[in-house]
Amino acid sequence: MNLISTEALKSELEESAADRGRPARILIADDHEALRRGLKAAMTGAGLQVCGEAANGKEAVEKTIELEPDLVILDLSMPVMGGFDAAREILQSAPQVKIVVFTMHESRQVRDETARIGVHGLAVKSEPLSNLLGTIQTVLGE
Amino acid sequence: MGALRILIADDHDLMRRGLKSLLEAHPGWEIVAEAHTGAEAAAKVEELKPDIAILDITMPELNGLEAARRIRKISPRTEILILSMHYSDKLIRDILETGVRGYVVKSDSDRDLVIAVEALANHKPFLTPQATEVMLSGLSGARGSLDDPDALKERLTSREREIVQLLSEGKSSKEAASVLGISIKTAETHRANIMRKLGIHSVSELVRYAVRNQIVEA
Repeated sequence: MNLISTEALKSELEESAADRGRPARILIADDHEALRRGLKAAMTGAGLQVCGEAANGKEAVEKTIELEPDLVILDLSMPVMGGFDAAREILQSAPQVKIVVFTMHESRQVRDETARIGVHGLAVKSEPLSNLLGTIQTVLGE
Repeated sequence: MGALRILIADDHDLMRRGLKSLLEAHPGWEIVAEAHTGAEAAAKVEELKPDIAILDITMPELNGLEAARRIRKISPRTEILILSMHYSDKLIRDILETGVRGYVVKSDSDRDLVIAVEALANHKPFLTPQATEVMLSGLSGARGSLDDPDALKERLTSREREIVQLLSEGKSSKEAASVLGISIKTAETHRANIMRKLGIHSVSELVRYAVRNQIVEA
């Protein structure tokens, strides 16, 4: 269980934004519009800047190259191109971009595959929002 | 005409926020309450009597289908829209049987959600083409066919299904009794009746039944 409050994480994210001289730029890739909207509101509320959205893996790769975000939040099961394939392509064509996989189901297979590919963070949709924010904060601070 | 009053129930905070943002973008629609369990949804519907209740199918303690059954009794004028992550014939049959007239798969919600709410606001049904197909095949007598082994078993009551969900979520009879506000003895009697009706002898078999029938998520 993550006991760090969303407020505490927000203040840490604001501190790292001050260090960077600007808020971190986030690209959200998920095929569910409602979830993208929810994520966007949560990211903005935490002081992060959402620079773009993608509804499938292919779009996520294209927008990462075009927009050069600091971090991509990547769903795994998306149409056209899944999250694992998109992560591989992003790490190859934009290696400076950090990736946090955000998935509905955590399993050993998912953990092993994200580690093998070299994805920077993993968060599960069913867990509290503070877990995702904590993962983003850790990954951005690396 | 006043605003259309909507309740959103989903255990995922981000999904609730997203649904709220999507629906509030529509002029004249107001989100009057949010809930993260089926029991909370039913209690808030009883208190606020919204025009529409949007219920996620998989929620802890009381799932969307059981919440819908309860809401149909306590607020018959509230139209119900069920959201599910995956499409399933069995689920559609259960939804239709409950008297719910709106069903949207989450992956189609961008396209279907607003249309579904508009239809329900006018007390008209909204079903996906797959749901319509299941309904029509049900009318022609295909429902409860032999390829559905659970269709042959004795039907569980609403309270028994609630117990199945709680036990499958890992709660003991005592904990289930406490959640439902009943005595431990009553909970244990329900448990024994469930096992007898389903012809099963262990909690692991019960969990498998609950997953297969989408009472809980795998």
